[in-house]
Amino acid sequence: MEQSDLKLIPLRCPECGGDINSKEEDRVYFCYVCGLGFEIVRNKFKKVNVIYAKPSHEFTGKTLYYLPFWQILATISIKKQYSLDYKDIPEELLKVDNFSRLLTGLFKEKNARKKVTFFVPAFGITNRYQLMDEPGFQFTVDPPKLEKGTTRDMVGAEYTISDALDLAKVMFLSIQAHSRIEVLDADIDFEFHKYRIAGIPFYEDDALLVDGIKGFRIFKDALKKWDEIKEQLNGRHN
Amino acid sequence: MEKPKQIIISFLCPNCGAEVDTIEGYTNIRCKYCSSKLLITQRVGLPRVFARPKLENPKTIIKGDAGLNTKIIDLDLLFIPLIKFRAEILGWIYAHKKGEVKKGYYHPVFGETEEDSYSIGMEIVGEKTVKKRVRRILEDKIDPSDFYRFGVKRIKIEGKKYEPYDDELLHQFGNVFDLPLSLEEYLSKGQDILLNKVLSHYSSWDELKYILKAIKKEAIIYYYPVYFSRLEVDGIPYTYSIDAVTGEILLKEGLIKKESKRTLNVNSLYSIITFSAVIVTLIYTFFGKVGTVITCLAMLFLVWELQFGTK
Repeated sequence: MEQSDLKLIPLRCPECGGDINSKEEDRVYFCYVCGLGFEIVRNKFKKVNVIYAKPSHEFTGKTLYYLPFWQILATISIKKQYSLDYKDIPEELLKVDNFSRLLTGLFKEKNARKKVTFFVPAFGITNRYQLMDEPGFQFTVDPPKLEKGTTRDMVGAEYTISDALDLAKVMFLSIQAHSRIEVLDADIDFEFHKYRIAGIPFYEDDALLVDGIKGFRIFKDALKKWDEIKEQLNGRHN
Repeated sequence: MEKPKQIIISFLCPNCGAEVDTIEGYTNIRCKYCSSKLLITQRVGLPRVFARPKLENPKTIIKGDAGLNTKIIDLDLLFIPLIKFRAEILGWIYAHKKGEVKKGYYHPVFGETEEDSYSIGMEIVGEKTVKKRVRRILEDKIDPSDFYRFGVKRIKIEGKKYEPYDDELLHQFGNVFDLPLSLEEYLSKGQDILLNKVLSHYSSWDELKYILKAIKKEAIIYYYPVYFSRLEVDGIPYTYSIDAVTGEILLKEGLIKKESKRTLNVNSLYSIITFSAVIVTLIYTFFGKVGTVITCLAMLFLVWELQFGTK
């Protein structure tokens, strides 16, 4: 690698000059002041669209911590047709009409192309994370309506958009592979159109973090270095 | 091969213009003059760290273990590079194990006769199906130096204090083992190791389908100090390797002295007995009972030593 490929840049927002929150593992950086998000592309900060979701009114009054999720709009098409009945769809998905209709349509209709909005967690996780219902999956199956809220400090994002696209593909295949193993061999085409970071508010509830929009839960110890991050965020609030 | 040098890159602080040195593999730094928080826009290589040798007198450990009459031929300190690879493995696994048909299983039924009251049944034992999402952060150690056969595999890199790699300082302590392959090759090797770790559970299963990917691949190179020594104990050559941080003997390898037992053939035994009888008679004639007893005991010991003693 040539040294000329490298550049040292100040961790300061190119838009407002505010401090940028960063850990060593971060790949997307958020400005403390204006809330903008940045990725490094060709040695420069490149703006990433960020939305800080407004919490539902019943959660107001609690200390909220924003966790970043990649929100990715994709079109999915399946080249080979499969038969799929409602009985093949996992029970938890059947409860969500829109998503089960989307899946059956995708598998039954000829040359079907369906739009899916994926929510992929972008914050650092621990191995504890796989032991629970993934909130990214829950948001994907039953997407929340995100209203623009106030800009807040957000936990740094450790997954790049490229990692997030891989995660989204695996998430989709795992939804179907549960009932139809052939899907693992299927020729599925993912066309990713646009993406942004969605800051989802969470509040603490004993050993859990509860999302301030739908009420989904994450174990606190499923987040990497949660105590340190919390201290850092609280330090800035005070 | 060129010795691995610490990559220190000097930049000018974009805030105050002072020179800022950065260590390879790290991205977040702070200017020591103006305290600005700075970011390197592209990672360089892999972070390299080393553990400082703490063992002051390795000869004492060797002699304590091998014996005081040990002759140490040479003793060298070598820093061994160990790569710790870490990645997040994600995907989906479907695996199926057919199980075995267990025959001859009798179970009671209600029959008219006693013979009809039992029927031979069959059951499948050990059939399993696994369908699961995989999302695991895994790590493993790669030894790039092929030094595992010298006990390097026993080194525990965890729980030790490391400092950023300093080539000059390391060469003051001893020699540094070079990395034989490129970093990209080790990253690829590390990825294969971790994917196999996930799949190895199902290697003997009848059906296996999966999609697995490694993302967020990271690695750190740990330069770990090990003493290597060649020595001789009673003329037998040995090789020792000792953890230079903890003093643990990692390996002692030597040519084992084969101890063969003496055995007397039957003719030799008859000759000894005849010879002994003559001697005993003579001793009894000239020295009496006490002398005879002492002589007999001495001869018995001689025969025992010839029969069972070591060469």
